[in-house]
Amino acid sequence: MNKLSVNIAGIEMKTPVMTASGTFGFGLELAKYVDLSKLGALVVKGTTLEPRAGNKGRRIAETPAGMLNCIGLENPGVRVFIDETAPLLKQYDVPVIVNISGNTAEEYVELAKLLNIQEVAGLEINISCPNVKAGGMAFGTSPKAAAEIVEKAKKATSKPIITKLSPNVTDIVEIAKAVESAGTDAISLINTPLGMKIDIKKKKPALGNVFGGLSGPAIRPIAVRMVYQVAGAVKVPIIGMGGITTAEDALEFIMAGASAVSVGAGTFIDPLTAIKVAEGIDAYLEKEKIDNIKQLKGIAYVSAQKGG
Amino acid sequence: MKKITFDCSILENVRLATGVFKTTLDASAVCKTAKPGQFIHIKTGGEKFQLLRRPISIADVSGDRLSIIYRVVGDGTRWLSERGEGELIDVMGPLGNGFELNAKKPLLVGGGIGIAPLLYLARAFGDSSSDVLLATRSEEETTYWLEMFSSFCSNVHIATNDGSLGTRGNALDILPNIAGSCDAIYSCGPAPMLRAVSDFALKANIPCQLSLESHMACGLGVCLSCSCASSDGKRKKICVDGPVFKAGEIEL
Repeated sequence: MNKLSVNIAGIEMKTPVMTASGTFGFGLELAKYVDLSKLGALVVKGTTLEPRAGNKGRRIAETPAGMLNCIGLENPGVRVFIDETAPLLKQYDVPVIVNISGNTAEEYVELAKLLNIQEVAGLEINISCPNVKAGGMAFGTSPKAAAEIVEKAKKATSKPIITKLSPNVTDIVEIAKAVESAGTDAISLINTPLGMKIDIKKKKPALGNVFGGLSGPAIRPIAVRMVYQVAGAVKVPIIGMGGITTAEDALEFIMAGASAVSVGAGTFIDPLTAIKVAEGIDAYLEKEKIDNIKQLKGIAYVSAQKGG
Repeated sequence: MKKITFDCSILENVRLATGVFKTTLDASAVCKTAKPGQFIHIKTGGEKFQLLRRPISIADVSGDRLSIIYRVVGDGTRWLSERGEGELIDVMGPLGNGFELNAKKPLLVGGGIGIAPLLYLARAFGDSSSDVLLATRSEEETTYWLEMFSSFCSNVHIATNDGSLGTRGNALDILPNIAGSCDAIYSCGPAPMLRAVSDFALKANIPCQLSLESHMACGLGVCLSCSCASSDGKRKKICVDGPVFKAGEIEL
């Protein structure tokens, strides 16, 4: 499937379909069901310096065509990733991108330094997790704070830096421009919009953390719109995500201006979703007699609306 | 690659009591390896555009026939209860680890709809090998279980909250009186009951396995919705490390 291959910030991918952080574990969990080498890239669970137990209480709730989650960045910590997980991931022919999250700019720097290892193809800077008190989204909603983290992390590593932005902002373009100026090599759009569900039987919030990040098809139009807006304002490649479960969904993102896409909650329904999406894109190119996926990037852009 | 999802046709959908249904599927691929205590993860449809699968414990397996017994608690289970014979549903499984069948005189302790996985367990132990304690709210919620377990278990003990059948009260009002002769307890039911059964078994020094339930998205260990704290300090996932745990292994 050569016509599907893309290069995102120097990372060669066989297909433009990646996994979204937090929805595919560390890859190993699903390796017996999914041929990992058929993924564009494997983006692993959000990783922090120290192990995190995550949030207490109920962590997910279903909503129409979507789900809310407040996992709270549960992960075993970066040491376990480097010592135990990365060596096992080496056997699979797939670029591994590590999503990193810190409480301070210094923590992002420390993570970037530690992960400057051969097994890691790139870093995704998470400044958009809605479910943690410190850091996370607080950085991603301020252009200045976002730029500072990107700039510092970029200096700490030789790996490409992808910055994952929060949709919980007034002006996504402003943040995207700020992280581009700070040196990000690519932008992931979008993390989850903040939502809430109330259990009317118990008369209280359904989630232990009260609010949670909304994912699934319910958010796709918002994500497509944000990719479209940002694509018109930045030069770095965009990885589009938000409710992709089929090739048709993925093509919307690509036509809006994304160079690659990620499957998130879709993996929860069927772990093969990302591979099926790639196969579906291949079939679409065949049917439409299009030589290369790159020809579709931003094709839906309406020039009169340039700049969003 | 191991195939994990299968289209299964509905052989039978029966209402057992108010809001309780038994759905039997033609599920040869799942039945081949299904162990008592494992669960299946079912994709549902419906007007609420449900995204996630529903984890439901396997209540029985006989040849290629797999049955689940569940209470209608929301849009997904309602949709499932309304499916007709011959309709296809998308099933992932079998998932989870299942019970270890290492007892000679097992006592099965089930509460409410949590009784379901113990039925397949009773079948697996063999005729008259196990005893069962059924703890429910009322006679209406007990009679269908009584009929099913009577064919596998030598003794069926009953506790109902309203006293309409058996002893008035809950599982713990009977358990201490009947546990003396068993060499292991297998339990599934509401969290407060599991806590009490677990405490009792640990104190009485009787080996005990508990089947837990949780909200979950993937069922395969990646979403971390069902992650919980364990006694060894590590996090455990109910979907892949459980749903069956030894008493004391998990913070209940």
